[in-house]
Parts: sequence; C-alpha cells; structure tokens
Amino acid sequence: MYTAAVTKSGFVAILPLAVGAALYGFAFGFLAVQLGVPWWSVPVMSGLVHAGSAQIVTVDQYAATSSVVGAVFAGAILNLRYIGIIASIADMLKGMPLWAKLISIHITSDESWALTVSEANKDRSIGARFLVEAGAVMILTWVTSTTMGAIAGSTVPDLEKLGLGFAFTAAFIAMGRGMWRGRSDLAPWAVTFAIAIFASRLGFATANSIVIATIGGLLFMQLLRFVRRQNHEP
Amino acid sequence: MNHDILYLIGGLAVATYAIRVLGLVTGNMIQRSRFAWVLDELPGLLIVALVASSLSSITQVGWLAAAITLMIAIYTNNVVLTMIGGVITFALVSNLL
Repeated sequence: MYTAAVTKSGFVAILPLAVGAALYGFAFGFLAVQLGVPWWSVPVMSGLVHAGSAQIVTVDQYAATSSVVGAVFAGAILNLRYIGIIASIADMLKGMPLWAKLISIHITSDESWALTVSEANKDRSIGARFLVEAGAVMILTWVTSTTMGAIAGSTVPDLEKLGLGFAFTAAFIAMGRGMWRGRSDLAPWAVTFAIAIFASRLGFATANSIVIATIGGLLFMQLLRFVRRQNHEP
Repeated sequence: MNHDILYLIGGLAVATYAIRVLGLVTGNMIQRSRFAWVLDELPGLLIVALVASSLSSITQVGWLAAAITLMIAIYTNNVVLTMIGGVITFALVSNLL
C-alpha cells in the first residue's frame, strides 16, 4: 500500500531524474557566468524559460556572436520538440481549468514528460496530477541547481583560458548523441556538418553559418525523400 | 550587456512558451501535417551545425579532443559525463601536444 502510494507520487518518482538534471543545471549556471552572463540572470532565465538545452545553446551563441536575435532563434529551434511533447499530454490535461493548464505546460520538462508517459502506459490511474508533481520538482531543481552553479561560477577566476569553453562544445556533441536515431541520420548530418564548416571557412558569421547549414541539411533531406518516393512509385 | 541579457531571456521565454501553447492548442494537428518531418529533423540538424561551427574556429588539437569527446558521448550517452570528460580531454590534449 505504502509502496504503491509512493510510486504513484510524481514528487517521489521523479527524484532520480532530478539528480541528473541538478548536475546538468549546476554545470550550465557555472559556465554561463564564466562566459560573462551576470549571475542573477541565470535563475531568472531558468524560471522563465525552463528548457536546459535551449538555455545552453542561447547563452553560448550570444557569447560567441553578441546577436540576441540569432541566439534566441537557435534556442527556439531546439525547443520545437515541445510541440510534440505538449501535444502528447493535451488529452491528459483536458479536465483542468485553463490557468492550471497554462502552468502545467510551463513546468513540464523532457524528464517529467517521459516519466509520466511511460508510467501512464503501465498504470492508467497515472495522469495530470503525477505530471504536475513531477514537473514541479523538475522546475524547482532546475532553478536551484543553475543558481548554485552561477554563484559558484562567479566566485572563481576566469577559467575560460583553461579550456572550459570546450564544455559547451562537449554538451552539443552529447545532445547530438541523444538525438541520433540511426544510420538514416548519417548522410543529412554529414551534409549539414560539411556546409557549416565550409560556410565558416568562407567567412560567414557563426550565426549565418548555422542557419545556412541547417537549411542545407533540410533541403538535402527533402531531396532524399523525393528520390525515395520516385523509387517506390510503380 | 545588461539590457541585452534581458532581451535574451525575454525573447527565449516568449518563444519557448509560445511553442508550448502551440502544442496545447493545435494538439496533434501539426504532428499529422505534411511538414511534421521538418519539426522532427530541425533540432538534430541544428545541433550538428552548432558542433561544426564551434569546431571551425579551434585548432587541430581541439578537433582531436572533439573526436575523443564524441567517443565518450557514444559510450555514456550522458550530457554531464560528456561535458566533464570533454573538458578534461581538452585540457590534457592541449598540454600534452
């Protein structure tokens, strides 16, 4: 009875995933301050945005290019996945008042969504309450851990010259690993990679190189889809 | 800087929340549209472009560190471990070569 109550509590079930997010949050806060972002802006950003990867990409792009529009654009593209994530829980939120829905969609994170969906598949009594509880733990963890990282980052000297800036490159490599779905990604990703390198070598600004390469990758995929359709038609 | 950071936070917060609301309002409509594949592919392509652009300005030592970091990412599939491993690798490779 006790075990069942505990596992049906989003507050408790999300804790192992919250520990992982806390480490990630601490690293983000620490690095953001090292890149020149004021420490107080880290908790503000974490509370208002609540999207880890997009925050990392946005801060990195802003530090590299000083372009607010380009940095926000890059972060927003990364968050497009939330269309699918929120769409998949829309039915779960149906009985809620509008204000509660509007808060729920903000506190939903990758982790709380994935856990809720997988638990709901096993137990049909799990739904909106579990999602909100897990989401509340995640946003609290994210704001707290990024703030602690930002405070720690502002108390140590500039570590950028020791290669700490490479941490964001490493984070992007890890994010790419997480998004990898198999061999079908290889050709479009290789084309995108090559275009970005080529555009940078040609002297395009970083933000422009990224946009050109991403669009180039999409066009290549469209071409692949077209060729496949042609081959499958009788 | 201070004004820019406010625009940065405000812009990303509005864009992210608008995307979440779009998911709530349109439900599965967008997911079933003929452009759904673009939404699926864009994040991965963007990350690849970000990796490439951050590597384009670093030395050959950085490329070597990136290759080792990729191995760590493939093996661990964990962002924090890859970040820690990547920074240590970069520091070691920079000092040894």
